[in-house]
Amino acid sequence: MIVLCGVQMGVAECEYLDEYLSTALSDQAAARFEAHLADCPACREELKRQRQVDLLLVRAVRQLDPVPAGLVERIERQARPSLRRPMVRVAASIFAAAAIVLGVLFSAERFGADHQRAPTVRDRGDRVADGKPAVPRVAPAPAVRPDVRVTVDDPSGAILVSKATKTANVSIVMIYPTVKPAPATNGPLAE
Amino acid sequence: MKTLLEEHVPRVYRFALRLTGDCHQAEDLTQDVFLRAWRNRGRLRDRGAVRVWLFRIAVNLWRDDVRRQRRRPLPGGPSVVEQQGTTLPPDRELIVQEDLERALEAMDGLPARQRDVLYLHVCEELSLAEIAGILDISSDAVKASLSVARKKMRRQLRDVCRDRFSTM
Repeated sequence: MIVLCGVQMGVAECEYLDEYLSTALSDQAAARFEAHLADCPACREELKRQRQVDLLLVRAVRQLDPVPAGLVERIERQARPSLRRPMVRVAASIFAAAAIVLGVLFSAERFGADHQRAPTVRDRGDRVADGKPAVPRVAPAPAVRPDVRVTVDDPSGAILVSKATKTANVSIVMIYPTVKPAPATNGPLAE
Repeated sequence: MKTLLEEHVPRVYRFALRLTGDCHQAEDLTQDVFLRAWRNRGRLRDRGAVRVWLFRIAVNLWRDDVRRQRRRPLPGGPSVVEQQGTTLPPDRELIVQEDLERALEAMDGLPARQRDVLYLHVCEELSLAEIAGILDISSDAVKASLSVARKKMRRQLRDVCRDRFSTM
C-alpha cells in the first residue's frame, strides 16, 4: 500500500522532516508537520530512524573519541606563564608601595633613636646615692617593626633602586619589574 | 580556570578531531585554540557563548594551518583511537561497539562541511544560526548541508537502526 503524504504549498510535507528535526520550523509549521506525522508512517519511520542515528552518533563520539590523558593539565601549564605576568606586575606594585612605607617607617625609627638623650648623672642619681657603681642606663636599640609585610613570589622578577629625598627621614625605593608584559597578538580572530 | 578547561577541552578536542582527522593534530589544535582564547579573552563579550567562540577559533586556526600547507587533512577519516576501557551503559545493551564505529565512520566520511554541520548540530546541540557563525556560512547553507548529511547517514546506517533499535 502506498501512503500519499500531504502536500503543502506545492512541497510534500515529508520534505520538512529534516527542518523539523533541526527545530528550524516555525511553531505553526512544526505543528503542521506533527499533524502530518499522524497520517504518514513513512515520515514516522524516518523520524524514528534519524533519532536513532543521532543517539548513535552522540554515543560514538563520547566513547570512541576519548580526550588524551593530561591534555587539560598541559593546556593549563602553557597558559600559566601568561597568567603569572599580570600577577608579577600586581605583586611588584604592592612591593613598591610597601617598600615606600617601610622606608618611611625605618627612617622615622632611626630619627627617633638618634635624638634619644644620653644618660646623665642626674639620671643615675639613685644608684650613686646607694654607693653602688652607677650603671649607665642605655636605652635598647630600637627594633625595626614594620607595620607592613609583603612576600613576593619571585623577587628576581624586579630591580630595586633607592632614591634620595630632600627630607632626611624619608627614603624611597623604586621597584622595576624585569618581566615583560605579554605581547599583544595579531591575527584573525573571529568575531 | 581549570573548571573552564575541564568543561570545554573535551568538546574542542572532539571537534578538532573532526576537522583534522588525526588525534595528534587534534591535540595540537586544541592547545592552540585555548592559548589563543586565553590571550584574547578580553574580546569575549558574552560568557554564555564561550563554546561557540572556541569552536570559531578552532575553525579559523585550522583553516590558517591548511592555507599555510603545514597540515593537510588526512584522508580516510580520523585515525583509529584506542578504546580506553569504557563500558556501555546498561540501558543501551543493544548498542554494540561495531555500530558506534560505523556511525562515527559514516559521519567522518561525509564531505567536510556536511560533517562539521552534522557534528555541531547533533553532538554539540548548536542551533543553525550558531553553526553558521562558527563556519562562516549562511544559515541556508547550514540547513542544506544538514539535510543532505542526515539523509546520507540514514541511508548508510539503515540496517543498523533497523536491527539494533527494533525493540525501542
